[in-house]
Amino acid sequence: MLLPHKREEAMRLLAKTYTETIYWHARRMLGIHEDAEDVLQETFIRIVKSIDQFKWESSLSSWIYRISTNECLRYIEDRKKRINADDIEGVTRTLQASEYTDLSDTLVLRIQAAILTLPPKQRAVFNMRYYDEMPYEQIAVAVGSTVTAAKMNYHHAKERIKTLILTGSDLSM
Amino acid sequence: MEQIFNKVGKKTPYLVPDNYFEQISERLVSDAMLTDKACLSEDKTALSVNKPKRRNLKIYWYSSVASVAAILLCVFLLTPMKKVNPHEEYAATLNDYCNAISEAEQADEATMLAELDIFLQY
Repeated sequence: MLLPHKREEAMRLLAKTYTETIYWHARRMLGIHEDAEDVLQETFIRIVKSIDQFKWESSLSSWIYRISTNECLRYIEDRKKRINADDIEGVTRTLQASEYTDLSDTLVLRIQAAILTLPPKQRAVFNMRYYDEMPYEQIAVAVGSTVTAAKMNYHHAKERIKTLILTGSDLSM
Repeated sequence: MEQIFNKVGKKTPYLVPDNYFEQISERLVSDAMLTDKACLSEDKTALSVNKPKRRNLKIYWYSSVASVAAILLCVFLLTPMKKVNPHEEYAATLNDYCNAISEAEQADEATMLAELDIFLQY
């Protein structure tokens, strides 16, 4: 176990290295700035609480992605009771109402709305593969599944986004 | 579809406030330090699980003081009381009884002598 001043140093290093990564992962999973910030804070506290139990069996970033993904999934499950995330019009309206959304590019907004309607695990896999360019092995660790399942999730996610964008009927922009 | 993704690239519509990451990093570290201190103090409590807890020590201390006080009270109550030897008491009673008999006998004897004197006078 590290000494207190060393622990603070380690936390600063962790925050400096991973804050943006965790935030953007959470933001792409949830869409709303405030929700992403909540998840970022929860994730960081979880990391600090369990860092002594980290065994270095996987990479640190995979472990952090796993904690962050679990926090996002828990948050989505909680939010489902309040907001219907399957309703694409509702998702789009929520994105448009947010202070921290760039509304200038309709296509970009449409793609994000489509991503936000994916089932949470598919969404996580798609984001990690497409935006973070993570290898499937690392994605599998992060979502707690197999490499094959991660590949299948990515394929289904892509197909679903394609359908939503090309038909356009589900998206009212 | 691929063309759409190629056109959009990795662009997202998400914005963040100015200097957001600097500020949030500071806040995360200060929150984490508080959590870490709480966790460390919990660990210390967990490590001393084999030692008696402070609360139990207090109970042991109070119960020993109470026991000593009870013993002292008993000693205090019992010390002024004179111990009675049953043999001595019996002996004393017997002595009194004997004295009473002899006094009675003497009284009877005196009465008899007085009566004898009166009889002899006649």
